[in-house]
Amino acid sequence: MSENNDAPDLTSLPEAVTNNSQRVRLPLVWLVPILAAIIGGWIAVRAILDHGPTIVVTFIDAEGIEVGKTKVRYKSVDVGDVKTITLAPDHRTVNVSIEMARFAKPFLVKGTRFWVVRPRLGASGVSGLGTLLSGAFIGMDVGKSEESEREFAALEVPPVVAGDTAGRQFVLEAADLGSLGVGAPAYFHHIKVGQISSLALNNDGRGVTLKLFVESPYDRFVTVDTRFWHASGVDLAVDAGGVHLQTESLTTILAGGVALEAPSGSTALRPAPPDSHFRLVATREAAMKPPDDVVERYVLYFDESLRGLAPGAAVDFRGVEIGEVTSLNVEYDRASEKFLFPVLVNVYPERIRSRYRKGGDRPQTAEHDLVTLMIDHGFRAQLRPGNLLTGQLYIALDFFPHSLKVAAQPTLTPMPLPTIPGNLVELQNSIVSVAHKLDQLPFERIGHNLDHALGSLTTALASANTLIGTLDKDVVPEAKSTLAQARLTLAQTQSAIAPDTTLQTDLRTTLTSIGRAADSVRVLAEYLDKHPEALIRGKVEESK
Amino acid sequence: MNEVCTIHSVATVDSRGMLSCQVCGELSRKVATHSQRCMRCGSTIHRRKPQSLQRTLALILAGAILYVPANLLPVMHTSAVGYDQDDTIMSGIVTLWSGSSWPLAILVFCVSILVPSFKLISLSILVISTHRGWRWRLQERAALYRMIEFIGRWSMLDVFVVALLVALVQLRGIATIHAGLGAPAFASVVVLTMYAAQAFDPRLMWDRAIPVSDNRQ
Repeated sequence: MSENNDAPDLTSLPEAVTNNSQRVRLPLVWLVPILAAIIGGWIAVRAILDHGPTIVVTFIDAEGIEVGKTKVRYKSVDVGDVKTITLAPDHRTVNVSIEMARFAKPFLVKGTRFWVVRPRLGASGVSGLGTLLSGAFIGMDVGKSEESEREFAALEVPPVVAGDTAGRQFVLEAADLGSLGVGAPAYFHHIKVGQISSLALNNDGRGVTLKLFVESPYDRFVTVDTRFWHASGVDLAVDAGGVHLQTESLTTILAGGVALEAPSGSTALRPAPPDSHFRLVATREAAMKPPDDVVERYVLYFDESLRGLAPGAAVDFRGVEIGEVTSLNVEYDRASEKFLFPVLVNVYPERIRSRYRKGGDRPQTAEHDLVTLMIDHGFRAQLRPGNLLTGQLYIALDFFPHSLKVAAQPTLTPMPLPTIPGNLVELQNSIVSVAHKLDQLPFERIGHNLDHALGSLTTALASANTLIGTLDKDVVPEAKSTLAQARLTLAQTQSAIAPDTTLQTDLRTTLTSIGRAADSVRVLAEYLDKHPEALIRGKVEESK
Repeated sequence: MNEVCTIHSVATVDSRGMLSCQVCGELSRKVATHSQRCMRCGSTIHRRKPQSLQRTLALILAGAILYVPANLLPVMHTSAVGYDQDDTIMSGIVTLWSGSSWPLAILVFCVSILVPSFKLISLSILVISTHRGWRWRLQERAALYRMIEFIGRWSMLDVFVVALLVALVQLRGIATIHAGLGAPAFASVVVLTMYAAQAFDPRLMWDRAIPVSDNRQ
């Protein structure tokens, strides 16, 4: 094979230079696939490592969620992608499986919340406007638990308070929700300090439990004796004290709200611990009332009608409210065969006693003794009209030293307090006596006399009528002709003194002549003054 | 068996104990050393491209490995106002297709999906058939090789598009486009397959097939 016969001149070709460097013929080219494999492997490993846990979030509705496009965001950072959307087996909910980023793994704990962020327009503001362009995304809020979780139920509405917001949560117990809603603001001296984060009806159906989140740094103002009341909308109250109109802010009128404040003179500076329970009452007044821990119950029997008295009406001791009416009832007393109308009242003795409590430790058991003593001194209850316009009544307690002595009955529960008729009843009595006196007036005789007098009056009037008739008949025509003549005379006079009449001209000429005559007389008089002799000698021509 | 005689009657450089320089075509006498250099241009001359099949195979393998991330990873990341999207080559084609610009979709599909895979498969066939010394359709296989060399560069179209977009669409805050990891992977696939095609020595097809080759002209 190496020998060639057909090429005679090939021997003249030069020999190739021998390459002496004996390179090791390692297939270096295999480095390339190895490198590629390393890169590919690294990418694959990274993809697997980045591949975080897959979670399932249950939504009521998958509106706005798209596979591959919808992201999960925590503080505006993408932490996951929607992988699949499937209906739950019971067809009630939608299961959205989300592949989370690896770094988001510690976030997936019990209590982590998910919700769909869409544009929302509410009474308290606008949110999620950015999603108008980008489409909805799934919001996330990390829970505080350590326990890992992979299945979540999405919230219907975004949570009001992010899980990591500094502040404290308190529990409010209210009888009624009013116009409050989740997200309703809480105001402290009209500054917004927090929001209602959740609300629930109590299990027994009585009352509502609200959770109020007060943000830092305002949360330190919530002390153990801070009071909470509804600032919901417009608070219009008509009671024995008149008409009250109170609002907190325009937002609360629309969306409701809670106001909080420590009562004036509060000395408790200790901030309330988180999750402290507070009562949420209807009005600021109710909130500012001293706590009524000690309650004494009394029963009052009034003789008058209880119309205008309602549960909640004030029990007032010389103008200071120390209790309230709790119920009105009807009792039938078989012994006396009479209907009785017991009015049950709660009296809060702490409102009376707070001043001298500091002084010492009065025995609490002396309660009824004190009341007995007071009753002996004329301590009585009385119904009084609180507001004449609305006819509301309240119960006034006071000392009436001149009232009838009544024995106290401290052994009964509730203890009866003696009553005396109210001012209204006295007023009624006075009116009745006035009416009685009026009743006794001799209206019949007065009427008869009046009738008689009226008859005379009629006769007198008739005479007057005749007189007027005569006047009309005789005097009036006479007067008429006189008047006509007078008018004629006046007209003639008028024509006589008119400017261009003969009389006028003559008069003027005459007057001029008289003027001239007067001048001549004056000249004569002057001349005679100088020359008196002229009277005798006649006028002498003067020469110069 | 007269074909064998025909082969022998054909004068190849190799059969005369010569080497031809691949750069300038200078003929040299073969010596028994491993490496020789051309007297005229100084480039290393070989009887055949050294380790041609092994090299080609290695590069094909590397290309095939990178072909996976090139297609799975996004080549382009688009972010417009409130809109973020990662596009792989295939999702881009789907977008084009659903946007009814299907001629473009077909073009991109051909140069970005068909051509690289075609090259990888064809080169693999060439390497295997040559290694095994198959005598089957030598001429068509040669034509295939020429075609591979020709179409190889077209696959870079995608890479150019991405490079252009990344450079042009940089409207801060409104829209930006970044290249994804898929883009360099894809570019590597194209480059590697081009090198693989270059490393392949089509003369080996006949060398290996010589004892029974029926192909000459």
